[in-house]
Amino acid sequence: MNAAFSIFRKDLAIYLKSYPAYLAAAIFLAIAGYFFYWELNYFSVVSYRLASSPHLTNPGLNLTESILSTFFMNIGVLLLLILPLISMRAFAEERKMGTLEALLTYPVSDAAVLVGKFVSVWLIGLLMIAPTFLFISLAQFFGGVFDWRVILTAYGGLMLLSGAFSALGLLTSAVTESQLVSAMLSFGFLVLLWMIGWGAELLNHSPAAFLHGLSIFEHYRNFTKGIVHICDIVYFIFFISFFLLITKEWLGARRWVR
Amino acid sequence: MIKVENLSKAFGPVKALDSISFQVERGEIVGILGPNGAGKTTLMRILTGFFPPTTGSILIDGLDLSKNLRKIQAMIGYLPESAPLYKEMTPEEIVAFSARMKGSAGRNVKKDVERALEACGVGSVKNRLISTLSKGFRQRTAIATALVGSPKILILDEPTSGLDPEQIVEIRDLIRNLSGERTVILSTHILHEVAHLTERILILQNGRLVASDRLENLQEAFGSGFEISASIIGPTEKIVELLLQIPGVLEVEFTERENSSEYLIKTEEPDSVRAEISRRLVEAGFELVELKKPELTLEDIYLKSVRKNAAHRSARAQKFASV
Repeated sequence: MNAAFSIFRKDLAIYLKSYPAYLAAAIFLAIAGYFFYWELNYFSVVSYRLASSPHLTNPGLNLTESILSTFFMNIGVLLLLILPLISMRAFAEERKMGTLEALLTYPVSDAAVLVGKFVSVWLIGLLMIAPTFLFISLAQFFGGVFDWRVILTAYGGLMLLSGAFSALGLLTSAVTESQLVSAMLSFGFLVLLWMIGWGAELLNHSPAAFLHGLSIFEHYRNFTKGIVHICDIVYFIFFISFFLLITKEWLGARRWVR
Repeated sequence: MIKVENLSKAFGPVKALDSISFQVERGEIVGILGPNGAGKTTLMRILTGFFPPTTGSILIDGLDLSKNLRKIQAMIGYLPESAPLYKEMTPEEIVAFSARMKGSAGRNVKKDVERALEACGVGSVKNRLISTLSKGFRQRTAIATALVGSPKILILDEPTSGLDPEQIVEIRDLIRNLSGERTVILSTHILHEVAHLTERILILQNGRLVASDRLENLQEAFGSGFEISASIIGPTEKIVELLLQIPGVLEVEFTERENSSEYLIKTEEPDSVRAEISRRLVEAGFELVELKKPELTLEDIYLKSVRKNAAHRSARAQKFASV
């Protein structure tokens, strides 16, 4: 546990000292801010027209439902683009620099190394997400009324989603010494897991349910609506554990006697 | 004590190490010498538990490495090839990280770090980023990461690689000072480095251990004990004729120089013949400048051991081919 904490601390310090992490966070927040502003603006235009045209039927516009669900889905897609850029250096950089060899010959288990790295990547993801809370708080300050249960649930979903992206990113980082290859592999695989849900709509019942079950964004969508399904939580826990386990086995493969 | 027995490592069809056995006593400084691709790094990685051997065993202080991996790793300070470091960290941070990874905690971390930084002479730059340090200071910092936590065994892979001559001398002095009670195993492909630093030499070639002994014993073993070298002033033809008349002299080779000529005299038994050579040359009026048993350099030993191994392999191959 001590070793995992040391690795977490070391990796976090390195991330926080490197400008690409800040650049990625700045891009993420700028785009997320734009999304939020756009959704809010669209909502105010629609609600103004509804209010000024009494002959139109009010479909029951709700600020939380209209803005937040789309906003959190958009943040999820943004994370899909940004987190591979954060996780790519976890092992690939260490392998390229030669520090991985020293790291794996300390008297600590591969699991401790992995946990330390996973938590640091995950935390960086969460630190990037955290300022988005400010957008919602500002909207609330200027008169918006939100359902805070939905907000908390959505942030819970975002935590799980970024954990899943981090776990997958660690695997792709462990299999190569090129950060670019790691980011591309991670990005490609995550897009596939996203798109798999689209194909489901074209198929009949049982394959569709199966593909829906695999799609990471289908499981995340419920959280953005304030719905907590145990199967969604289990999916994310399984996803994170599965990819961490494969990464651990991959790191341990050097010890296989040939 | 480190005891390595019948150690082999194969990467698919390639045998990186082939039945290597040797022992290293406590406090000994041993140099592993060999060309690139000889298996030095593979041997070091196995010794540090980075990966296991295909066959064979390693006992360190009586503990089997395969069964006591973490315990043994805690006894070892390892410097991998090219001394890798995190460029975004300072020497103090990186050595503290290494200390924590080796199990140091609380106030001990600071003490251990200070001790390692001072021992390696990086105290003055401990708060500067690694990326701003010279190659020499980076190497010292990397050695400090291996040294922190006072490991019983230091394993250093090419510790002077890429350094300029002045830095090489500094790092050599540092390693010599660090040894003390500690066992040091270092690899290099620089021949005179082992002569300056180590007490014993292991020569690896193509994954095989072709020699293992102290430098003086290797000089004795690989030197032809039956040769005498002489530096004589006088007409070479007459001198060669005279030398060949001496009982026990088998063959004479010579190289002409500006003042005197160098002669390599092959004998049946050098000790008794040497006195006779000296007497006859003086009697004949030639000026004998120097007469000695030729001392083998490390380069000679290395080349002889490698050639001997190649000849041995070639003979074995021919034997199998004829069967």
